[in-house]
Amino acid sequence: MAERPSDNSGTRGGVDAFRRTPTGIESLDQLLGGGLPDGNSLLVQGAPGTGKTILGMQFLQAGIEQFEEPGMFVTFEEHPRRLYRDARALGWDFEAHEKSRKLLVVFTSPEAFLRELASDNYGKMVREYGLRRVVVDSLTQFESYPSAVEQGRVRFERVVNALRRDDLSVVMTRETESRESPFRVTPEEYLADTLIQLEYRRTEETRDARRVRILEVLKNRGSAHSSSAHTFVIGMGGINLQRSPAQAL
Amino acid sequence: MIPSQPTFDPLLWEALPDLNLNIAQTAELCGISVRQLGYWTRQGYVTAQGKGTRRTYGLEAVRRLLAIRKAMLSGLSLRQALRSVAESNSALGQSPLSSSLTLDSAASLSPSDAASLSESLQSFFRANGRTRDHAGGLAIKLGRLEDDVQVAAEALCNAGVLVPMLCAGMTIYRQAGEGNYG
Repeated sequence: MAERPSDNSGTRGGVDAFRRTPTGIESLDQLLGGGLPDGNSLLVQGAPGTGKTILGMQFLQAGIEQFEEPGMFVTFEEHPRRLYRDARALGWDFEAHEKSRKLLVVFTSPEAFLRELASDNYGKMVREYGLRRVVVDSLTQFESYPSAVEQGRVRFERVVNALRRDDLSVVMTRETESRESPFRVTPEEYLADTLIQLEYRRTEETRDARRVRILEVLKNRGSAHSSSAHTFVIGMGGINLQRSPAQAL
Repeated sequence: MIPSQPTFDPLLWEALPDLNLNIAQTAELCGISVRQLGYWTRQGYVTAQGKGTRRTYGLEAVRRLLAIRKAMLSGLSLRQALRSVAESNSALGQSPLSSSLTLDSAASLSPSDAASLSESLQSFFRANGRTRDHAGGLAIKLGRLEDDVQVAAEALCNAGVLVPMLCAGMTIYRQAGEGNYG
C-alpha cells in the first residue's frame, strides 16, 4: 500500500494543508503539489469525450489499489455495465472491486440522490463499507431538473456538504462546451475547492488537424498548483500527462 | 385546463354531516370534470352511493377528492397524489377511505404489457444491482411512462423483489438484499 503524501507546499493552514489525497494520476498529483488537499472537493469540467469520467474512475481505482480506500461511483446517466466495460478497457476490474466490497457503483437520478443525501442512507453505506472516496458523475444532470425553490448553487453546496459530512474525498464532473469565460464564473466553479478543466485543442504542432487533450488546473484552494496547460493521453491505466507544460498552445 | 385550487372552509365540514351531492355538484365543488369524477369513481379512487347518474357523494368522498386535487395541483401525478393521500390517512391512523384502491387498477397497460414491464424492471435491477431511484428516474432509464413504472415497481415491492424507501416525500426503490440501505 502506498503512503499518502504530505508536503509543505500548502499556502494556507486552514485546510489541513499538509495532508493530501492522491488523485491516482501521478503527474497530476505533482501539479497539485502532492495531491488533493484533504477536505477539498474537486470539480472536473470539460466537453463530452474529454476524459472527465475516466479521471473519476481513475481516482477510485487508485484509492482501492494503491491506498486501500474503498470508493463509491454515483452515476446518473451512464449504466454501470458500460462503466465496467470502459474500466476493463483501461485495465481496471470494477466488477471484482464491487464483489470484494471495495467499490459501490450506484445508479440513481439527481432527484433521488438529493433526497437520499438529506436522509442518512448514503451515510449508512459510507460507514458499512468504510468508503473514503466518492465520484458524482455528473453535476450536469442536476441542470435537467430545475427547481423553482433551489438554485444550482444551493444544490451544489448541499451535495458537497452532505458528502463532506462523512469525511469523503469528493470528485464531481460537469459538462461544459468549452472553457468558461473568466467573466462567467458558474456557482460550481466558484464553490469547488479544486477545479480542473479538460479540453481538446489544436496546436501548432498538430497541423494535420489532430487535436490534443489538454488538462489545466484552474484552482486549488489552500495549496500552490501549476498554472500551465498540460497535454495528456488516455490509454491502458487511464490518464497520463505527457509533458509539462504543453508547448505552443 | 386545470381549475384553480378548490378551497373549503374547515368549519363548514362540521356543518355538513349529511352532505349528499350528485356527480355534477361534486365535480364542480372539487374542481374536476364530471367525466374525471366518473372515471375516478369507477376506478375505486373515491366511493359513491348509488349507481350511474344517480350516484351521490358524501362528506368523506368530497374531503378525499379535495385532498387528491390539492396534491395534484402541487405538481403530483394522479398516482402520486393517490399515494400521498393514502399515506396521509395512514399517518393519521385512518384506514384508507377506499380499500378498493388497488394500484393495479390504474395501470394503463394491458396485463401482458404490464407483465413485460415488470420483467424489464426486474432485469434492470438485476443488471444494475445498486440502483436507487424513484419511478420518474426509472421511467427515463427504461424509456417507459412514469405511472406505468410506478405500478410495476409497487407490485414488485409487494412481491418482495424491491424495497420502497420514503425519502423527503419521494418513494425511492431499491433491490431487496444485503448492502442496500434505506
